[in-house]
Amino acid sequence: MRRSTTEDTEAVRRARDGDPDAYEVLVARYTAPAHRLAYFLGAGDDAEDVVQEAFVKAYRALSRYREDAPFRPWLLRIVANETRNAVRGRKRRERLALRVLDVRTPDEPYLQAADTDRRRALLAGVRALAGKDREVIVCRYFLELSEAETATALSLPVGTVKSRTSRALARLRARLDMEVLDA
Amino acid sequence: MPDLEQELRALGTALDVPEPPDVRGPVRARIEAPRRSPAIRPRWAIATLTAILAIGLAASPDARAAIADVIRIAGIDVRWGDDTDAPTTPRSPLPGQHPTDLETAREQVGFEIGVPERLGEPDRVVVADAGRVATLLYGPASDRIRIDEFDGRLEPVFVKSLGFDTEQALVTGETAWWLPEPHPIRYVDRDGVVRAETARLAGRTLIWESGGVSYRLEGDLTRDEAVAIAESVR
Repeated sequence: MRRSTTEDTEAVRRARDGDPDAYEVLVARYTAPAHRLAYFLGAGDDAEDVVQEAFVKAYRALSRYREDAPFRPWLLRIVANETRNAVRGRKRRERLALRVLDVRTPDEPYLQAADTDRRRALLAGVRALAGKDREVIVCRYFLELSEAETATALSLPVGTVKSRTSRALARLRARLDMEVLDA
Repeated sequence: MPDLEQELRALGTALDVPEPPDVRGPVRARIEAPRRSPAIRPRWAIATLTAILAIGLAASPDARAAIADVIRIAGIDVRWGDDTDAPTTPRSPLPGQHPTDLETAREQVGFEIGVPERLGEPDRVVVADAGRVATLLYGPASDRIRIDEFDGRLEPVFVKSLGFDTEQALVTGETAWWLPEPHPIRYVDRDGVVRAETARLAGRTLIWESGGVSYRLEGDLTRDEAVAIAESVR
């Protein structure tokens, strides 16, 4: 799933030297995670605009991009900032972010009823997390970013990512345990 | 006990997120367009226009020399008397103004941007004149609170003309100025050129300096509210 960073670095270098085809390769490669992140952070209907804006800004910032740093988290950081710019108000973003985590969505016909229930409970747990914990969970598990990548994307220290992740996992575990008792 | 992290990953793939758009075309069109005309989205353009000081070039660069009765505080010259030499020449915005976010703005300006805890994260951040002025904006255009920040050790950055008295106020023990009535305002750019606003008057404003940074806070606020906001800047 993960492209080699050397491939990205080479494309960045060529894009910086004025090769738009090289940049287009990066755009094609990272539109999906960028769009997904914008969505999960509450971009709502603006997600496409956010992605477009982020790629344009990233292009213009290529001169500041450190070649030894991976491209994807650097881009995702711009996407995260752009989402905050595009959708005014923390509460509004929060509402839009929760809408993506609609409890009805994860039904899958091949899942056993018990599994479906558990998944619903898990989703409800993710919804109930504090916004900043949820953002970390979204990056770590829904986008499958590493701790370091999550830290870059959300402009947080790695230690904060670690502590928020373990706090959120503990909350989710506690919640799932309760659901089991209720059942 | 199932692996919670594994379950979360599975949940992520099951969530119904719309198909990603193909933005290659529009992105390419924009990065190949002349740099001069970045395609700011219309929504932004509106926000930006309401945010900026709509300004015109001063009739004469000597305008500053002509200012007689002046107090200088925190990089802002406040001058009394009517403003008959206010120019009517074409308006231009604060030079080099562009919307950005707080984090990028912090990289772009040469001073520490302060954010008032009472207001929290700004809804919009605008940097102008190659990182010389940062503007934080809160709320809708109709009920806007605006904070301009710049390096207070610079030569005067704004010139205000007043036809009334200012009031002294205290912000964490330091002298500040409260301008309770609408007044014209001018911007003095890097080259010392005075750019005067012709489109709109500045509203009630508190001016203060803290940690080498000058602030002007403008909005429909009482003096006490403005001071409370000023004192919450971190």
